[in-house]
Amino acid sequence: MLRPFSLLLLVITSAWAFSPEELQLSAEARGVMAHSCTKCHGQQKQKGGLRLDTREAAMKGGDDGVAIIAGKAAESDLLRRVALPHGHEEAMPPKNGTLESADVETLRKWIAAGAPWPDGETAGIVFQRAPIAPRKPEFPAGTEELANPVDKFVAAYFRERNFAWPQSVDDRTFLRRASLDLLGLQPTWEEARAFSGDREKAVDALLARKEDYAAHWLTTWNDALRNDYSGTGYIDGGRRQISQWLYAALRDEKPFDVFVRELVAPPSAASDGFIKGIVWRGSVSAAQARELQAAQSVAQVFLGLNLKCASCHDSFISDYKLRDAYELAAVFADHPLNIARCDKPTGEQSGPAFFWPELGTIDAAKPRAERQQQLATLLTKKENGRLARTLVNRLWASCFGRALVEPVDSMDNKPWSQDLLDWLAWDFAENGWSVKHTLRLITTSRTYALPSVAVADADALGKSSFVFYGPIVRRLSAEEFTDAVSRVASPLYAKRDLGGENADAALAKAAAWIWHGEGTSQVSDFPMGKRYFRTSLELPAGRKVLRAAVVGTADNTFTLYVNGRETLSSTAWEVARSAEVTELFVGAKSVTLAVVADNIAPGAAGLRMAFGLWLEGQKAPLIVETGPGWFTSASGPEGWEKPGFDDRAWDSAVVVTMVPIWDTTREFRLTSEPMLVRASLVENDALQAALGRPIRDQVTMGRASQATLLQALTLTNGRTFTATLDRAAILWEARVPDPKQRLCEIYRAALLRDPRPEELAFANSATGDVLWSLLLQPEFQLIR
Amino acid sequence: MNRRHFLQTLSAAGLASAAAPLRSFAIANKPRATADSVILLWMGGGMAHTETFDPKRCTPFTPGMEAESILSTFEARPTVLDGVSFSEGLEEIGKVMDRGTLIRSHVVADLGSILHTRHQFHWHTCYAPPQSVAAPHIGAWIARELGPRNPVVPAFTVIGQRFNLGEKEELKSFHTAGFLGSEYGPFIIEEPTAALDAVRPPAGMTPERFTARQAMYREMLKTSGFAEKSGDFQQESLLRSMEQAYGLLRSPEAAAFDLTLEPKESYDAYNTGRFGQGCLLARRLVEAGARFIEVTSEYIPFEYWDTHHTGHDRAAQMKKQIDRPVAQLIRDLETRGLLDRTLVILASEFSRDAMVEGTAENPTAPGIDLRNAPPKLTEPKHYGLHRHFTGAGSVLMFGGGVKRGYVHGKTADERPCKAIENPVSIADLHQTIHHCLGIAPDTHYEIEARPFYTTPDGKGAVVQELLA
Repeated sequence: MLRPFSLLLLVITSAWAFSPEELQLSAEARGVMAHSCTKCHGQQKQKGGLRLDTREAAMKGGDDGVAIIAGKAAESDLLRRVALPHGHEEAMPPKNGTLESADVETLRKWIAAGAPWPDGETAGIVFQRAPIAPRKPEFPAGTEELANPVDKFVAAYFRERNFAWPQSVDDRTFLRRASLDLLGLQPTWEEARAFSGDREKAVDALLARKEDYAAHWLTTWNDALRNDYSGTGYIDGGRRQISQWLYAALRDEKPFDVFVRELVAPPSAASDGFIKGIVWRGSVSAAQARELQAAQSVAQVFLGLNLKCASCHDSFISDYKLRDAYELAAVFADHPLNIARCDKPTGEQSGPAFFWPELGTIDAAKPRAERQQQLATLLTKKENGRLARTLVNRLWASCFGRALVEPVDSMDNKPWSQDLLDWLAWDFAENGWSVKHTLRLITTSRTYALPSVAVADADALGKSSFVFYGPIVRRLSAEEFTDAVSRVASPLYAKRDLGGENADAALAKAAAWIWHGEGTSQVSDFPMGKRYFRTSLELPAGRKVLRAAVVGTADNTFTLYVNGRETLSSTAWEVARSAEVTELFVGAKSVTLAVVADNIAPGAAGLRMAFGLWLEGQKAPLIVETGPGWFTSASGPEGWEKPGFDDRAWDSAVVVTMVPIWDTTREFRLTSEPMLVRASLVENDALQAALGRPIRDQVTMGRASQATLLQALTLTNGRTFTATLDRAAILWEARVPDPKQRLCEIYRAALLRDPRPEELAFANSATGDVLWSLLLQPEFQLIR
Repeated sequence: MNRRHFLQTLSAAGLASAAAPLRSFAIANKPRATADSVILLWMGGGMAHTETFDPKRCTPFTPGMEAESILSTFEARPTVLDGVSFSEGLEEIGKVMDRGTLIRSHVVADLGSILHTRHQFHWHTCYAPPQSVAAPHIGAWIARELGPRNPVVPAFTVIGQRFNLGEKEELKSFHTAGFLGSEYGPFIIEEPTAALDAVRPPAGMTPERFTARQAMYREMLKTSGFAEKSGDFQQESLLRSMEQAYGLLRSPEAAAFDLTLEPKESYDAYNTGRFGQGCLLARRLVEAGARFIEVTSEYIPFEYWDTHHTGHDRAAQMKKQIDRPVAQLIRDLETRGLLDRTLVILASEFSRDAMVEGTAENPTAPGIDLRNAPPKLTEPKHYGLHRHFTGAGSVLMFGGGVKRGYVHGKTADERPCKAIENPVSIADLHQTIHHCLGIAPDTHYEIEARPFYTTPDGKGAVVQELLA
């Protein structure tokens, strides 16, 4: 039997005494004991006088007598006690829940086989360590008729289990799955209608949407690389964003090996935030020093290897030692690192090395940048199969809800199909480390189109006894859900924290910088304080408003009221704010823009604003921009922001000489279509946080699929979500006045189907309530 | 849904993700609980022990005085306990000290160059940041281990802290359930007077419409055909949480969040500002069945207890903020028979001193604004305790199984005014709090296959002397 793990390497002494099968069984049994027993029955502690880490001690037994009777499993007390139900007072282990049945079975077989235990071997060193070399398995026999390699391996896997291949999911389910998995977006009704049924073509079309793809995968990589637009550490320079680099890398499909190299050995500051880590002011424990953070992150993200234990002391849970962690950390250090064990100096020092010396060495004599280059080379060289396995395993997890190897950070664990993992990894590296290549391969497989599997117990998913039947039901992530809400209801976000070249500025380019006409013509002379600005316009009668949008910025701060309603505010001129405000113009006869801007620091003061109104039957929008026609005052009396306010006594605003630096303002644009600002491009907020977008202080490799009460509360009465639904209701009612037709279109947008006859009655309910109910239905919330 | 069922289903939802099934473990016996609820009164920004509960020699302001000469800037005033004085301005709390325990020897870790939020993170989670896994707030631990006391009152609530100012991201990083999963995260009420908004139907929605909306939700579930498709934990948790939220937003307990229902006399007794209102809200929530509530005087850099300038005046203002409501809270809990089972703790991330930054033994460089502070004080605005001192601090505890009328530990009467008897660490304090709540000292979770205890490696010991 082919064993994918290097357990056998560890069992070399006195091997002549045992058959290979016995050695294997012995190693497995000792592995079970090392994981589950020796913490209390080992070198450190001998509870009940029992030690299970050496043969002599294990066979001797403890205070309660002999625990293992070689050859007599049924009479061995050890086996009796591990088989007791959890909670039984004699059950072992008492702490960490009962053993998995496979582990009990291993122990039973081992004792029954005479409890083979080679001399000198302990039960402390038998952690699994997966081999490093890439491997290209043969396709399983009898799968020739299947074109997709994924299907060949899965077909063989099913065949071994006598599992008949179920029918593929329907087109609507497939397209929704693929669109969400590849782009994080639900298909629109139009996309769903246009779908020809050619799934390969559909996948290609999805993968060709570069910006959408980048915005989706940004979430995954921000989680993994601890990158965000706000978070701990930024306040005093203890952290650096890699957002621009990351977005471009995803959009432009940087090959994954290059991607890794640029993160580990950054060619510029644009990608150095990952290994710089997060530094809080003050002293930190040795295990959280910058270099060790880099080692932990590189190991976890790129090698699926948890070094967090080994950063403090030799790991209890894996084969990795304190020295391994320090050697990797030393790659990122400017000086040899002093090794500390549990935060106490050991007096030893560590030079740089990589876990697998067979891959090559890192030259301690070289400067840090060169050592990082060497590490990058070792990580990405052909002989290192671990990097590719780790990545394809994660891609599998994001497409199927459960990885080939779980947890995804423990790539030394066994996959449910070694051949499939190895083949995908080999193929990935062979095809230019193209993530899209592997995603395409997976999503065009019949395996991907298997019906989803409902799992009642989240616990079962992580177990090694997991059996693959198909994709696991998943819940939309925070970003997927908010993006869907933005499209089906109304946009949640108007400002991007990432992106923002001044494209599409044409519609608003004539907007001038204005201010109150005071001081001299020198902009630097404007006094500090609040100034008020207004402009109004009658709308042409009898024309329906299709859309209204506004964008603005001010040096230093502003709040904008559109037709008396507070719409936008900002405290940073560097990024303009914009909003869709169509709902304020349903039935409106005029537009009034009222702004209070505050010059909070001595120096330049300016306000720049543009408003666009798209009317039925008119090709070009009506644009209202800062410039002539704006009035200003140094005080804002009661009602100054209201449409009917009499501003005839106000002065004309003056156009101010532009300060050159204002030209760098980002996002000052009115786009011809409402811009969907993807949730992944904006700072985390209360809504996304409640829905599970993590604080990215730690490497995060997956999101909880479980709903929580705090989420439900946020979605039931939270301000942001409620306001979004209120706006959406106005827009839907204006756009589709007929209730039945409207219900029909809302169902199509949200669920990609028409309402059933019994669902037409919902047309009598308030539009906002219909939207709320639909968006919180399992049919909408879950990916099946 | 009855309470028992709620608790059972709640524990099922604790499983954070497929990859990290969560179950807590402990071998040690659970101690007998002496408290059911906790109210943590948080003095964010660094409350000087010598200006509050541990006054030293007072040196009044005189122009040209040496900063070195200042230990306290207020006179000491006697409390109801013989031989125990508080700083002027805390007379009301002094009157209820016969119901409480005062720790004068709380020593927090020195984390190098001072960052308030880093010390706050340490105090609230018991783990100094950064951490390689997300450490839970103590309120989340307690919510996770004990669940809600009343299923329609959130188990873990934080009152008074806004998250849009100053070190907001750092604040967010410990106002979290971390690896325990967001089910146990804080229910945040920024404005005590607007608390009701968080627990009632959306603004502008009538109860009838709210009910009708939920009815439609249930009906849609049927017509969608998905009601039959349950069996996966994702759908089960979604539907259960939606019904829970609906129940909570319609429950009579929501009235507990409405401060306008409080008699005016009582409201006024608490109303010294947002902190006082928060104390009142905490009392109402404990009455309704809350498990863990934190009321914060709020941390904003250079505001409140963060007395970088005008330290004396600010300390006077802050004492005015806390004195009446804290005393009233203790009295009210006692009158209602709740004090015995409610553990009230008042604490801060560290103390202050006029000269020493960090500890006396291992001083750190003060911040830029302090480095240039004159050694001789010329203006009253320089008068006060500006530096961050980690060598001692005062913690008040009331009810829930702690002694009445007891003072623990002692500090030096001359600079450095550090703890010289019975030091109590953050881990000791956490162990003591968990002990009072009946949570075993070695309670832990396996996170990424590593044990993660309520205190680092399960360290810290219950301070037995504090217990009644």
